[in-house]
Amino acid sequence: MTVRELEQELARQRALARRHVPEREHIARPTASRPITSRPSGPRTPSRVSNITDARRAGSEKRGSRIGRGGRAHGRGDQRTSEHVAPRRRNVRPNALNAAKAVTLPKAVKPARPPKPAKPPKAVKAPRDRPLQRVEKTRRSRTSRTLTSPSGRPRLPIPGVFRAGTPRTRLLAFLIAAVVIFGGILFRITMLQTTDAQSYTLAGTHQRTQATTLRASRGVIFDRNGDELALSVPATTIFVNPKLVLDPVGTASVLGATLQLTPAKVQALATAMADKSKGFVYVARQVDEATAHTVMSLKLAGVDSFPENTRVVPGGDLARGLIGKTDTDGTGIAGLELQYNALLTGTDGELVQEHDTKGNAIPGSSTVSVAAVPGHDLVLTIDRSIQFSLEQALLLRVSTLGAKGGTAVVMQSATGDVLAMASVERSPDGTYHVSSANLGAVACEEPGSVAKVITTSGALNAGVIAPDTSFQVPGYQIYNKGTKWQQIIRDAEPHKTVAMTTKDILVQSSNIGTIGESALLGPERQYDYMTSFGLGQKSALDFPSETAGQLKPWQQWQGTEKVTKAYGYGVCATAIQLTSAVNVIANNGVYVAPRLVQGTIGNDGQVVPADPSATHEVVTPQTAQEMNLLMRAVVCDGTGEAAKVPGLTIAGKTGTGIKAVNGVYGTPGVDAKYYASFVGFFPAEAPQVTTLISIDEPPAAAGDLTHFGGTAAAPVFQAFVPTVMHQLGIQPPTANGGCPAK
Amino acid sequence: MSLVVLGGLLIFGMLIGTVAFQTQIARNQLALDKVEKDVVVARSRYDVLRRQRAELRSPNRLAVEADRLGMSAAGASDFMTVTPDVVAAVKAAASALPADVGSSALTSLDQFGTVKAVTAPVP
Repeated sequence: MTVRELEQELARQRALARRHVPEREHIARPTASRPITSRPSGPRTPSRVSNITDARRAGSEKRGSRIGRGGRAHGRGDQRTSEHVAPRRRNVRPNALNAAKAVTLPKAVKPARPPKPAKPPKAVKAPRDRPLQRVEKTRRSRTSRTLTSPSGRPRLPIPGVFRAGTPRTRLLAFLIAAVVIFGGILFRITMLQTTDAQSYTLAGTHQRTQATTLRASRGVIFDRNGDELALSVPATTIFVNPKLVLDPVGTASVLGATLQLTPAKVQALATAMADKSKGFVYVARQVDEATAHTVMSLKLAGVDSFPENTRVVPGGDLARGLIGKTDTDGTGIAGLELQYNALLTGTDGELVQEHDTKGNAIPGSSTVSVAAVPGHDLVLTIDRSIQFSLEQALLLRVSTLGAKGGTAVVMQSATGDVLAMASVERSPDGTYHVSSANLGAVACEEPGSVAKVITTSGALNAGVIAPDTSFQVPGYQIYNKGTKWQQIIRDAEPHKTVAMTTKDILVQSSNIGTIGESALLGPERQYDYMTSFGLGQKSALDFPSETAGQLKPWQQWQGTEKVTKAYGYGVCATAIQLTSAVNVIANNGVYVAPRLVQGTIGNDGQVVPADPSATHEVVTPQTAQEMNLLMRAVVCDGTGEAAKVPGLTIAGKTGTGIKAVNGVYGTPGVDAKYYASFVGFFPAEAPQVTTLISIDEPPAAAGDLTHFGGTAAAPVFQAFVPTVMHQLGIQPPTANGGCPAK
Repeated sequence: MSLVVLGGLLIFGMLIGTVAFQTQIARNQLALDKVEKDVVVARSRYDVLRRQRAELRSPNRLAVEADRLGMSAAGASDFMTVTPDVVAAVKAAASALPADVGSSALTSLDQFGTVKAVTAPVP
């Protein structure tokens, strides 16, 4: 039987099946995977085959030759060989339908095999009811099997259920989709764990942790004995969150009463709290803990607090100008607090703390990411007791005289360590107080006769004079006569022309005699000695706003400047400069730079000594000794008698300078303003302490003799020296110290 | 069967041990937190006490207190010489006293440095 004959037979059987089983049209839908069968007998198979064949044919016509399998080719009448079809059969299960197909689809290349005659359909012979019953049975059976046992077998189409492609295709599509989806997930996981890990870790950490700045404790300022001059102590800052305040006016009123705020401050606070755009307003910073506890116990809405250190000076005004101060944030803004701010300031730390969703800290989760490093501590050369005594002595003297102010410096002769540095001044209301400025370093005055120590020392050291060199000294002398710089210079005490030795000139503080010594020395050497004694340059203290004073190079000296510098005019010097200069004599001719810091304390608790002061020799020890004796005579026999201390040998020099106001010197007894000073050291036999006392603008009315250095400043020295002796434990080197009996 | 039971018991024991270990860690952390808070409080207390001591020893306060007690600064002073026999008698009378009487073993700076060396690295 040829293919064409087979198709005709199939068509015939199909026609028969249609007549008997018209309802199978909607059951047996053609599918691309269904094999062709040509089992001729029985009502079931022919009907299925016919339906499949029809559908495939229709599909072939519709979609072309790519749909269907081997049967399709036959359906189209193609003369395809078994080689075209065989590869597709390999995956076909050997079920009943395939078995039929294997029989009905002979190899095209073997046409010699006679086809079996198609059996007449039983449906024709059988009673009409029987095939219908079998078809119904088969349909039920197939439907049931398809629904309950789909494994491996081609499914029958289910009416009303859409199926895309074959199960194999669907499985493959599902597999691909699953691979793509899970591959994407895997890729994302890999990215999260590698390249994105850090950012997400940080984001997570930031979300659940809270960083708090740990303020480093500012270093302590000690005096030389370990007593605190300035330290930081715990305090509490009170603030308010206006967004949480229910009654701004009432809250401000209560806070004002509790914290003793001014009415203006209370009003400003109420206004600030009424502004709901802000979330933070300071109420009071760095209040003591008792006050803070009182405020917080009121439980005012929106009012809260946090700890914040505050800087305190236990000594009150003691050395306030020297120590300086800090601002509210603890940054040094004046004095040593400013100068050593970098050293005193530590390094803030950071506390990272985990918190819950409500912001509450989780117990046990606190971790310190960066520990705060406290600042270094400063150990000064200042002695607190000496400082206090000096300030009190100055205050007493200045207030007694009614002077404008006073300055004093106490220095250890050998080391240059400043033991005390005090400044007092008069307030506008007439009261006196310790100055907030360190006038001993930041203000300069014409030193007056104290500078004669430099001139005489230079002349002695240069060998142009000797202690017993005699000069004819007039009471006054006209300099630069006939020039625009003509000036009459007088000694303080009027006298006729008399013979004076070097000692007499210094003891009686003769201006004319000192000018004579300077003339022998010459301006260049005069200048060199002045600079070598430390004038005209900043001291080693390098105190904030410290002045270098004024000392022009000798080539620029004009007119009477060439002579006035010898006795302390035309030059401006600070108290620390003058003290250091006179200390050269006390220190055996060696200049030692002053210093205020003795050492520091690091975080290991060890005291690190500061470098010793720089030194240089100014005059020979012999010259220093000669000057020592001359200066003892000043105290014992000259202008400094008011500085005598019984049982103790004092060497010193007085100075009385007329201040230039707006560049004009006042007239003595009329409108002159004075700067009275006394510089001395003790015990003179073995100097240990050098001290300068100066009184600014003591009263100088006609007939008033309290404006001289010997009368205004020397008494302070006398009253103060025993205190220093006791405080430092200095004993007079000889039993019969003091001035020789006259 | 016995191996399964043994393995189960082992795993259960390990779980219990882990829980106990974690609990101990949490307990120690809480104790550590408490100690750290105590250190902070102690340091604050130390600073406050130092301030109070400095204020009590302040020359200003002493002068005011002395004035309140009717004391006044000496108007004059004199230096006197103590003869050697008096010095010898005083030393003989004081020889029974320990050498460190009247002097602190540690100066204020030493005490401060000792405390700072311990507490400085602690926040």
